[in-house]
Amino acid sequence: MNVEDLLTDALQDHADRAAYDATPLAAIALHARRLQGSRRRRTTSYAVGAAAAATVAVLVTTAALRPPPESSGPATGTPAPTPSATAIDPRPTSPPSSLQPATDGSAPAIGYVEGRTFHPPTGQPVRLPELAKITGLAVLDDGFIVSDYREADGGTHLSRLDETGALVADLGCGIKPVSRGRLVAWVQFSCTYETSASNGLHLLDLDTGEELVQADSGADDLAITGRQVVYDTGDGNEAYVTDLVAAPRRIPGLGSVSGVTDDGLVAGNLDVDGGSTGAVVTLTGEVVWERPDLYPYSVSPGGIYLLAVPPGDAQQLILDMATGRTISQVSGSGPDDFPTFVPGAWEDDTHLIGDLLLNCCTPMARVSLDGELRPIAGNDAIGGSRRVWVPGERAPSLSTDTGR
Amino acid sequence: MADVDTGVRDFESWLVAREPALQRLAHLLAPDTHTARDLVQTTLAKLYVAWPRIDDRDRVDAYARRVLVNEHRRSWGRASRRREVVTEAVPEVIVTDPSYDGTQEAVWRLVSMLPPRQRAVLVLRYYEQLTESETAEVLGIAIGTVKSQASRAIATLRTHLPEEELS
Repeated sequence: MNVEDLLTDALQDHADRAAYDATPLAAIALHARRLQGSRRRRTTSYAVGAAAAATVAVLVTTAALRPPPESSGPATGTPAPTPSATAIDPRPTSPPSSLQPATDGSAPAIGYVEGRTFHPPTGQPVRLPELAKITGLAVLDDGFIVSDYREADGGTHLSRLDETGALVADLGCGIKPVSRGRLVAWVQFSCTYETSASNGLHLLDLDTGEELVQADSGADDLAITGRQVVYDTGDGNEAYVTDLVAAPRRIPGLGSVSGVTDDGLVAGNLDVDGGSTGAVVTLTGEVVWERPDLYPYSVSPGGIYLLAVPPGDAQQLILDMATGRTISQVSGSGPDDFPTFVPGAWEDDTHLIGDLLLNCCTPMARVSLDGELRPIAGNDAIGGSRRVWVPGERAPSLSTDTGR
Repeated sequence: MADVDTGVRDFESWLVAREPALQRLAHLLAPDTHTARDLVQTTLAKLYVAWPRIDDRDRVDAYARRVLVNEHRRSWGRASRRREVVTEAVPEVIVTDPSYDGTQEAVWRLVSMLPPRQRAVLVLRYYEQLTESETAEVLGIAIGTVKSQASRAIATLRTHLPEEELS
């Protein structure tokens, strides 16, 4: 037998021996959102019509629900965490609450990009240049940093824009920017993947204009806490914290970074296989809690909750960031014609905002912790462009008052 | 209804029929099961986003394969940016245990130790049965590079496999 035949047989044999699980559509949609912002489907093709929005039936269950702040809408301030040492509830126990088909008229309290237009939570929309698929945006005092995914070369590019949205500079390849308060962080690297040019981590202080750069960081996913950046290296094995002045310090046991609280509690995967989610104290590396079989998604702006997704599951769980306990469960999709809610970002500490995937269209919707899902009235539910949420750009009222 | 069929249900139909093949390819390219699963999920997410713009459904499999291989290439780049060492030399593998009868496993062990590009060339040529030209297109490299990488990889296998297996 010649080596080519042996090789063919060996490859076939190895491929046949592995076990494969089908990937649910909702998980694919969520992954698409996380990677680059999901593209809204061409609505003219799905002629079900607006009536479908009135028959929305997304299942939302709640358990161990912390009483939400008094308000029916988002932006109600930050409830204080109530740390608990009790055992983690693996699943909610209360019966599902029904969908509230009524729409919610309040506009998103965080910025978003739809098509090539950036909609800030306050102020006028800004038309962006003809980039590829926009994946992220950070607002500067004199413009924007925008990331876009270019399919032709399989890479994400960064661009600097002025306040009118005009292109100022091409920054090369990189990772989508993040912002928190007056700090903006992003990663730049060479667009030539075969080179050894490493990921340069940038941190810009909008108050002072100072831009710190940590060369050769290897940074991938980023989050900002205080004046520090927490980042992972994209392979699920390592995470670091740095102020970009002193040498970065590895956070033992943490493999990825999904979000961090202001007091330095970082959420991410804890093991190499990525099957375990937990919260780790940045300063000490102490594991505060751990949950198996969960994929962490994002931390609410006040650091109260963590959105997490079981692998291969259409459900989305909202966990108490302090204890890991399940607070609420959102079924991402139901059978057949049931819609899929794809969370885009935390609007505030009690509401997720995202897209509702219907056959007819993709309206915005928000889910509150008390079991309500409401399509947002007045948005362009039948457009054909995608939305990218910009959680770092929040309405000023969110941090200080109790309503919008 | 034709338009509806080009939407979500069409994607789901493709998914049911073709995801296993994509998973097999990822399993052969990736260094471990976790990475293979990530490759597939990323590929499916990108395909999901691009679906409305893919007019020629006959090209979906090729498109998906290309996305997956490109994602795999990105992982090489990440490795190199972190200055990880991707081994260029295959460690010595001696398959002389008299009780050993797992030739296919032995061949696979050798393939799994090859540099990523050589391994990718072999998988595309000998598992996906692509031509040299198609392999070059998918990997974004010259046909000559495909030939040289395949030649080196095959030579490596030939060197490390016991003679009786090659008779």
